Amino acid sequence: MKNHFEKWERYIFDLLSPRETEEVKSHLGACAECRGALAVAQGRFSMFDVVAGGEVAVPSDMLARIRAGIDAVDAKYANYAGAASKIRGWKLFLAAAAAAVLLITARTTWMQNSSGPAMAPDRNFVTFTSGSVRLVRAVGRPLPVVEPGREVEEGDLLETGAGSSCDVQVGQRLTLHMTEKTRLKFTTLEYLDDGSKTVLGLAMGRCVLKSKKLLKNETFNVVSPTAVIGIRGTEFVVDVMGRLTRVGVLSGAVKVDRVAPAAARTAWPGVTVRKNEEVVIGDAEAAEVEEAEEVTAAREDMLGERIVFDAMTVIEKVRETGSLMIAGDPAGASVDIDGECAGTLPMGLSLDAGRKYNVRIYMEGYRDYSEDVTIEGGVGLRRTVFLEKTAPSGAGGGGGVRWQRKQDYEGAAPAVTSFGVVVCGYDGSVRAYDLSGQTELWRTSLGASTSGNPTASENSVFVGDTDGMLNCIDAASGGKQWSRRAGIIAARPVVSGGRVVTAANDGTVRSFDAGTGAEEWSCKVKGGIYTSPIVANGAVFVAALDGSIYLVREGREVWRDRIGTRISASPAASDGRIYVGAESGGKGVLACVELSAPSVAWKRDVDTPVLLKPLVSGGEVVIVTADNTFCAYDGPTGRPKWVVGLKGMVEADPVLSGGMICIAYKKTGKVEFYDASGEGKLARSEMLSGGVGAQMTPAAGVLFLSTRDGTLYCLE
Amino acid sequence: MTVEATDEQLMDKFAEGDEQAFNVLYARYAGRMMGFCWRYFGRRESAEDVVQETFIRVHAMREQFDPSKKFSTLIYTLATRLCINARSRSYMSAERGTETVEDAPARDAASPEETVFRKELKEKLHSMILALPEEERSVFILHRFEGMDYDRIAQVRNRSLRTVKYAMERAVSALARNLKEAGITPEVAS
Repeated sequence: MKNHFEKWERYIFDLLSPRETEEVKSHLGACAECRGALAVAQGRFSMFDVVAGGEVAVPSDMLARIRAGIDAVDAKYANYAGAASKIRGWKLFLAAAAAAVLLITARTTWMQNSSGPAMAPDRNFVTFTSGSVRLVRAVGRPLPVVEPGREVEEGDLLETGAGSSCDVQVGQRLTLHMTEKTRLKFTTLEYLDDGSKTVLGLAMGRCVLKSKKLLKNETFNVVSPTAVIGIRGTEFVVDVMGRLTRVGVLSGAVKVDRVAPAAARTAWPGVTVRKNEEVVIGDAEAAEVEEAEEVTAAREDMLGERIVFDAMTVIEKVRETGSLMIAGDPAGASVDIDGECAGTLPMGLSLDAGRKYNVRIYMEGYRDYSEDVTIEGGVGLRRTVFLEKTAPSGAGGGGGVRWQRKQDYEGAAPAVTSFGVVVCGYDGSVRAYDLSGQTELWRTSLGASTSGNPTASENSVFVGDTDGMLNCIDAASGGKQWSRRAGIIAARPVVSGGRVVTAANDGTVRSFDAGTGAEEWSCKVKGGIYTSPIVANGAVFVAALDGSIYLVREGREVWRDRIGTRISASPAASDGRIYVGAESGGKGVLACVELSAPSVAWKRDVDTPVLLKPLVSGGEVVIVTADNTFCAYDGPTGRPKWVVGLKGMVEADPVLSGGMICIAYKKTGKVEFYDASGEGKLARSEMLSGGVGAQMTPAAGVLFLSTRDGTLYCLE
Repeated sequence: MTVEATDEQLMDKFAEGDEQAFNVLYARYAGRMMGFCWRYFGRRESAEDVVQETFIRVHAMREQFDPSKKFSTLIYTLATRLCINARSRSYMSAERGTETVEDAPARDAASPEETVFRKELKEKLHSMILALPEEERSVFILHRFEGMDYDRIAQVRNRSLRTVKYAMERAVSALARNLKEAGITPEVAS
């Protein structure tokens, strides 16, 4: 007796195609052996019916427990809604976020304390929304308005409208920020026996995702129409533009595969995109083929259509070409590639991989810019170029005002990101402009007044407010990524190694994960802190109002030394040393601290207090003292080198920009540029429309600053 | 409130504030959900936890329920997700193993030995189901014990039909293999 069909379970459980089913049926009619085999298989599976017991008795107190749970949840929502309705404007978001956290915490606590159902450790919920955010639920009606705290379930679809953004916490290790006009489906959110599995489908728009290092048995994939991005712990951006998917990695690395059958994926094993690299995956002429299982399922769910794609030619194309994107100023400057006109600023184009190209950017009235670039396959190359004006401007010749932009508020120090320049107003308003100053990219509000100057990473801006919160703002969209209690931060936070380190006026130093905002540690030192910390050698140095400097390592104070009676100027670091200016009994002191084995290398008395951050340039330490004296010391030894008298009060720290030491006057609005190698020789000056009280920000060879009359300047 | 009202009508009334409608839905589905969750977990306590959370979520979603959709799809969707996610919780790892719940009363003619044998057989078979990966297990239980067709399972699991069928195929292949290895045949069982 021969069994002609190996897998009867496929027939029994209706897993064959209609054609195959008909064939088996037809065969069964003529084959007694197979009928016997089928009967055996059916009998085998019918044994499982003993497990089926239909309904199972429910505990008598189950409904009461459910009611108690419902009441607890409703109470928390009511508190949240009540709190939110009482607060207007800027407080709304903070209250909502706090309530959301409370809600989650309370629900979890309640679940754990009430012998009710323990909650899964990983929850997925919206942490921030701005503008129009819509949730299309897998079950239930769509929610036209999504508030922070709203849970996201598997199968749900989040959509952001124009000018809107949304942040979502996915489990414990993933955070994502959706920018405007983005559709993201939470295709799979599972926490299985052997690990967790998360699949997000990005149908259109842009997401910035950041994950902590995943555990061994966790998988996390983002599926776009053309690419599958798998990560293990990194920060990256995914842009979906029709049939093109761009993956840019900010930190760590991601593995990018194509949406393709397993066989095709084997043929092209994918590409690993590392920090500061990007890859574009696309497809060209589509040809329908058999789909891969899970990826296709995700894609089908996402777009509701069968996967279509071409053969491997597109990938080869991607690997054969790379993109070059050039931004900068002035807009409209001509761009030549290898001597041929390629367009005007800003522009982007695709070039053959593995080749060197000469890029020339020019415009009348500006000096030509020329650079040789080598294009890598599948990788985008970005350049931001500022052309220098050839015509002299201002006293002393050279440089000048590249652009200026009048605002309706007095700005703090500008912060420069890869997207543009961000200015925080003291009233809490935040605006971003492109680097040419011509276009306002976005505007938002902190909800509270700014407490200090902002700091930028490539894609985020960090700034404290007078409510004692540290705010992380997405540089691309202006959406608030997170907000954490950090005390009143009077000076710029510091971003280093994926961390944001803050120092508050109550003397608390805190370290946060830059991506998630999770507080990693905190440490309170004796004096209040009004200066920026320095992160070096894995430790944090802070200069406090009690006149001491402190070394903090992983939340513990490990060293301190007293420099003077009071320190209100941020220290500066260079070549393994820290330079600190202080007050000391009505006079001043400048000290040099060796970083390797913390100790004061030298100290120099100064006639008047040092109230501004020292500037280190070419082995010299330059300070501006309270009596408006501008003097330099030898960095390694502290030996005085030169002294220059200034012409008025200076409140902004001196900065180095384009080989010049820049000094800005508080009252007159004059900015002086001293030759950094010229022993205090004035090279030129520029008169601005108002005095300069906020810190200046040198970036990309130019100098950004805000004047007291609310004008944002970009100086050569 | 009449008991003849459909689930969807009850949800509609519930959304309008009729809490009694929720009680009726609870009465209709609590036992069924307990059965489903128990078969999924093999542990009564865990099943109770998930059923409780399922109804809390049903309550929370009352205003978002789309009456054009089936209520049973909603509640099975919620319960299945909660089952799958609850499996990963640390406390679950300490609860491995199965317990027989609501065993049918022994037949009059059954000897004590036969009763013990049937109990052990049931535990073995249930253990085989519990040993399946989450996706396969959920699909198998929904199809075999809850009587859902694959289209409906695809809705509940938010998967494509093809993915559901793949999961079912893997499930039944694994079960067939395990039965063979364990030497359990219908003859032995009878």
